[in-house]
Amino acid sequence: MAAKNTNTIMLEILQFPFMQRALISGTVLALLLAVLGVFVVIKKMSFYSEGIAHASLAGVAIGVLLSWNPLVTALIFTAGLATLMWFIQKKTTISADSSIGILFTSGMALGILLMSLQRGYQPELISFLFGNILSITNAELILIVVLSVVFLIFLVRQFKQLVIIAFNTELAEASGARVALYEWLFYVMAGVAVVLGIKVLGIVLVTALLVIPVAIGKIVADNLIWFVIASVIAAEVMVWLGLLVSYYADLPSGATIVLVGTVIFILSMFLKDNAIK
Amino acid sequence: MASKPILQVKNLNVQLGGHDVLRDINFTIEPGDIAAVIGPNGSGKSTLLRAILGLVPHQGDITYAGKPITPRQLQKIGYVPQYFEFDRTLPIALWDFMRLWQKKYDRKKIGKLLDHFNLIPKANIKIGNLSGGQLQRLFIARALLNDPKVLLLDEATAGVDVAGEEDIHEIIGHLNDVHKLTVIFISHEIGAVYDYSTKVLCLSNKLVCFGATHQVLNKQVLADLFLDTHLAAVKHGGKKHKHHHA
Repeated sequence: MAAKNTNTIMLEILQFPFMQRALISGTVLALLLAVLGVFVVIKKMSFYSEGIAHASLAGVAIGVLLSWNPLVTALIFTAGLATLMWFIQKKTTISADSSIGILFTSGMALGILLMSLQRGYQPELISFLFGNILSITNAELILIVVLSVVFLIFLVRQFKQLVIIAFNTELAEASGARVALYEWLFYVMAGVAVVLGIKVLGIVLVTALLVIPVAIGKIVADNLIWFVIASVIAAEVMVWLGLLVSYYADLPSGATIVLVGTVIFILSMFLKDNAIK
Repeated sequence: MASKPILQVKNLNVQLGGHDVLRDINFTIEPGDIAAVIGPNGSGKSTLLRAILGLVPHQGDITYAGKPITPRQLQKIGYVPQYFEFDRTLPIALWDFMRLWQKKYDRKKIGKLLDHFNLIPKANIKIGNLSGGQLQRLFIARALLNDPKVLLLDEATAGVDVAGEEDIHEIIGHLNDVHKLTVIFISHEIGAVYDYSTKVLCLSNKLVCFGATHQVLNKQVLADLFLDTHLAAVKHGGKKHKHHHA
């Protein structure tokens, strides 16, 4: 009976094209952000992803002001900002904390300033701040899927190189790895993926899809492969269960996805013996 | 007939933060040498190894087998840095860790190296759960994965107990004997330098002595190297210290 109910619910949901787009984009982005999140956590770059998400507001604002697709302008702006961030890290002695703090609050401030030039209610701003997976268009879906597939192919093919660089830059460089190139690619990919994720969770919450699944993976896994697999499973459960609950309880999808993740995280802490000291 | 140098350093100068860390360093290392690098803290020992690996900007020529060191040649140089911090909660098992650094997965080789360093019983546990000494042994095993011709050890036995330290020296001695592995190691243990090295480089931001260990290293050299630097530091700092390391 329960199974039949679940099937009925799923069929009902899948009737709507906006739900189909939401589920496809959510599935693909959950996969991408969970895999990227593994590197983000090993490299201790959570603050970077949080910061670049906020700074992307300037890119969104440019799109709104110029009447271009804000997702596209945010992607271009973020790729540029990620490159600038990488350059500062490589060529100056400014600490990562300071440069991220300065660049990304400035990006957010620029976004607010540009948005203030546009009069009246701005639904797109609200959609980018808090996410609206149900508003994803066909063109955006294609963009999300194509970029995600390209990034995932790169991440899988260069998995070992990226892990050793994330683990210890100096050791990687001493073993002949092309650290500078890979780091730049990773900065740009992480920035672009975060912006894609903004459509699902919004600027305020997007980091959750990078951090929560990986935190769950870290608790339940004992080796690297399981770490990646567990993180991906956690991310997919977050998105699918979050969407189902938000659909039936009529709740905001982004916030529901994050809170589902929080519940899974807490459960995994209690289920794994050594997770609590 | 003298063999062709495997590593040659000519007129090496390194400046960091406006200070001369290494000045006009010249030396050659032959295949099969075990060279110890000694000197007080801040004398440029680690910087010398990092310059060889291209990790710090430098002036001068450093060649491996007569050619400038490229990323490809770096694969022939194994490196064990001083202990470094990493997230100990990461689910990376020992076996995973070794596998990451191998170009082509060779299960047998990983097993053999872990066995050499008594790490087989720990192969499936997280690297974050290893003790300091076990971690050092793992890092040395990692450095030997791709059959290096030269091994650079930056205080690699720090944190390892006496028995473990002897094991490490024995394994390196064996690799040196059988496979002609060239080793350059930084050490504060003058006893180990006498026992295991064939050559010695004394650093005090410049090369104070270089040559066969038993010919070059004597009480006067050690006193000059450690005591003079210590006295200079005391004079500079205006503080009185009653003990010294040498």
